[in-house]
Order: sequence, then structure tokens, then C-alpha cells
Amino acid sequence: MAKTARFVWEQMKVNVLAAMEYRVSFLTQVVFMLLNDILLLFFWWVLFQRFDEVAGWQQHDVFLLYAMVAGTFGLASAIFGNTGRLSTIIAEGQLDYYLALPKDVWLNVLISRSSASAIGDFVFAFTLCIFLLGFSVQVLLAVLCMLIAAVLYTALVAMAHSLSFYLGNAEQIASLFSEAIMNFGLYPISIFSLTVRVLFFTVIPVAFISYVPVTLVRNFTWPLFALFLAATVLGVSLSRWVFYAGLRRYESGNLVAPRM
Amino acid sequence: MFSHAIKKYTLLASTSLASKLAYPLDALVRSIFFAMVLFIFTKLWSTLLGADRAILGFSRAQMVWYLMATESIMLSNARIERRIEDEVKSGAVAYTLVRPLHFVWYQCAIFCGETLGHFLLNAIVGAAVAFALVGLPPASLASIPAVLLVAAMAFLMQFFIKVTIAMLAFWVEDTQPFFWVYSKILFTLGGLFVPIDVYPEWLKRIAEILPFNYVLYQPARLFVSFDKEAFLRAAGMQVLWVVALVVLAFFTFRRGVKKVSVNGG
Repeated sequence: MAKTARFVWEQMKVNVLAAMEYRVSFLTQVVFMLLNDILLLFFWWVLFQRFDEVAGWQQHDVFLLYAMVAGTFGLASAIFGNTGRLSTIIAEGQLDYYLALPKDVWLNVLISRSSASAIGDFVFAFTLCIFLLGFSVQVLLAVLCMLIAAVLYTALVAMAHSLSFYLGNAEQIASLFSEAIMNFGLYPISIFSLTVRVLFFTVIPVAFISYVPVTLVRNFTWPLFALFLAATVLGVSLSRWVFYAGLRRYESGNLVAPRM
Repeated sequence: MFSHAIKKYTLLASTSLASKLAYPLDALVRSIFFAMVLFIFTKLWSTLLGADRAILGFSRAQMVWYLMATESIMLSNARIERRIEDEVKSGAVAYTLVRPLHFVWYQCAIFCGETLGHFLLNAIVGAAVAFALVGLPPASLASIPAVLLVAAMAFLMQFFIKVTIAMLAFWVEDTQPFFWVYSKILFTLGGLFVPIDVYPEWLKRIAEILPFNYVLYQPARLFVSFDKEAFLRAAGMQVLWVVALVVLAFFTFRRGVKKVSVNGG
């Protein structure tokens, strides 16, 4: 476990340093993503000028939800920034490079790229958490929950991309799936009917990316934390199973190309 | 001469429309996302307004159809920015520049064709979802041509803003961050999710001065609550903004094209 964590950390450092080679582009992406996230809060700010609460959620709660989802997405894109390209890598036979390396293929593919703008997302999330929660242990708990949710989110999206082994290029389906998780996650779960909420805990497990982490930060309980961890372990296991089962069907593209 | 140019660019637009319609599955996936957004907001407005309350004259049904109109415009506009940026970065823009076409009008023709393809499908899917969620639109059939005219002008405004930002690729390496912020400005000052009437007074005034409300808010507002005077005012302002944006786009192109340096080939 510690060895894997160290491998992920070292790879992320290399990716971020590579992105920082183009300093102006890197800084533009970080700053503009920060601005982008701030403007996203605008909709809720306008609504809360007119309404006191939305289905039991007050402005403070909705802003915390935004911070948690943005932070989760930021960490997922910073650490596992290659996930969105998995379909193309499979469909175009580019997995050969990873198969030749003495590392876990699933993990190595996902962490071999970092998104510079993701740092802007995380800075936004972290700052908003401090603004909402103060300098408290809750901020550390929030970051821990974002990290766990980022692992689960990555596993789910990677699972959708792994369908490329079976269906050809599944990029559009996977993109739709990841957008569904992020979009549904940005709204209080209580605005949806009971049936939809059940779906959010099972088929499209949005609740574990947004609602559960927020609840844990607001009111931590060990049983809920255990459920959160169990859902993440299950998500990762399923994702790896779908990927490795598909890998048996993989045919090399015999692609000879430099990897920049 | 002029009719020849019109024919040339119309042919380009119809070709790009045909290429969009050739892949209905791709377009359908985009429409599923659209349906998802409508579903979320219907739930949100149902929670906030219930079945019979209204906010500043907007009922729940009007809010949902308003959102259907703004999202149709927002999600239908063709993503020309990535293509222009790639062309500039790779030097492929040199091939476009030597063709007997003007770069800006060439991009405009492609944009119009692709956008029309997206809009047809989005409007059908959006209308079906909105109808299933809240029933018939609060619009009269007679007002539809006027609303479509304002929507067409909104697309033109979108194009000239987008092409100007995309042409910044002549100077900077990555224009994507500018588009993130532009889209969020449309969210806010354009009134994507809520009509600008709902904003605090000072912010509403700022939104009214800027062009962005003519891209989303005005066409959608006219769709759910048509008023002849408001239509004439909005259409007039759109014409003025299009002229200003055309000037800005051509100015940017003339300055930017001087930065192109092509070696070999």
C-alpha cells in the first residue's frame, strides 16, 4: 500500500513538473479554473437572495457541497488525469506501452498524466472549505473525504471507459457517465424523489461523491465513514475487474510512436 | 460576385450540416446530457416554487421552458474553438488562408451548419422532455418565427465572440481557459439558469448593458413571454452588437494573421 502511494506521488510530481514547463499556460489554466469555479457559485448566490433554503439545504451547505465536488474532481484530475483518455488508449491500441512496464497496468495508465487546471479546482475547494469551516480539523477531514471520493469517482469513470474493450470506442458513453455524476452531484440530493435517490446510491453512485462526504464533514459518524470506504473499495474492485477482464480481449495496435 | 460568395459559403454550411446529421448517435448522446440538465432543474424549481407559485412573474412551467430555450442555444453552438486552436498551433491554418475564402466567413459557414444540426435535435429533445415534465409551453405559435429570428441572431453573436476569442491562439498557446470563463459569463450575465429579472437590481442593470443577455436571456424570455415591443428592442440591439462584434473579429484577424509564420511545407 505504502509502495503504491509512493509510486502515485512520484508520478504526480513528474506530471505536474512537466505541465509547469509551459509556465504561462500552466498559470493561466490554474487561475482561470479558479475564476470559473467562483462564477459557478453565482447561480446559488442569486437563488439564496430570494429563498432561505432549498429542500432543507442552506447557502452554507450548498457551498460546502460545491467545494467537496470541485475538490473531488480536482484531485481526481490531478492524480488520475489520464482517466478521460482511457477509451482512446484502448481503442487505438496504445496500451502496449503500459503492458511492457513492471507496474500495475490499470493504475499506471490512470496516473500517467495530470491536468494543470485541476490544481485550480483544488485551490478553490480548499479555500472555500477554510472560508466555510474555519481553520479546523474539519478542513482536514474534508480533504480526506475529497481524496477518497476522487478514488471512487476515478474508478467509476475508468470502468465506463473500460467498456471500450467490449464496444469499440466508448468515450462518449464514459463522458456522459462522468458528466452525469458531476452534474447530479452539484445539487442537494433532497430535491430528488426517493426512486432517484436510490439510484444515486446504486446505479449512478453520485451520493458517495457528494452527499455522503458532505454529511461526514458536517456530522461525522463511523458507520457512515465505513460505508463510504466500503463503497470505494467495491468501486475500485469492480473497475479493476472490468478492466482486466477486458484486457484479455485486447489486441495490440502494433503502434510504433514516440511517447512525449 | 456577392451572390457567388453567398453560394460558396451556403454550400460550406450545408456540407457541415450534412456531416452533423450523418452521425445522429453522437448528437443523441449530447441530447441525453441536455435532458439530464432539464430534469435536474425541473426538480429544483418544483422544490422552490411548487406547482402554483411564481417568482417575479415566472411560473414553474415558464422556468422549465425558459431553461429549455437557453440550454438549446447554449448546447447547440458548434465548438469551433478547439479546431481553430489546433489549426493555428499545427500550422494547418496556412492551408485555410490560401483558399479562396475569408478565414472568418469560412469559420462562420462551418459554425452555422453544425449549429443548425445541433439545434434541430436539441430543440426536439428539449421540447419533448419539457413537455413531459411540465406540459405545453406558455408560447403562442404566431410568436415562434420572431423568436427563431432572435435565436438566429443570438447564434451569430455567439459565433463572433467565440471566433474572436479563438483567434487569440495567434498570440497565446492555450485559449481553452478563456472559453471556461466566457461560458461562465454566459451562465451569469447571460441568464442561463435563471432569468436576469431575478437578479438583484444593480446586477440586473449590468447584465442589461452587456451583450451576453442578448445571447440567451432575450430569446428565451421572448419564447416564454412574448411582447412585440420587447422583440423589436431586442432584435435592434442584437443587430448593433453583431456589427460591433464583426468589426472586432475582423480587426483581431487582421492583427493575428500577421503573426503567422509558416516554414516549409
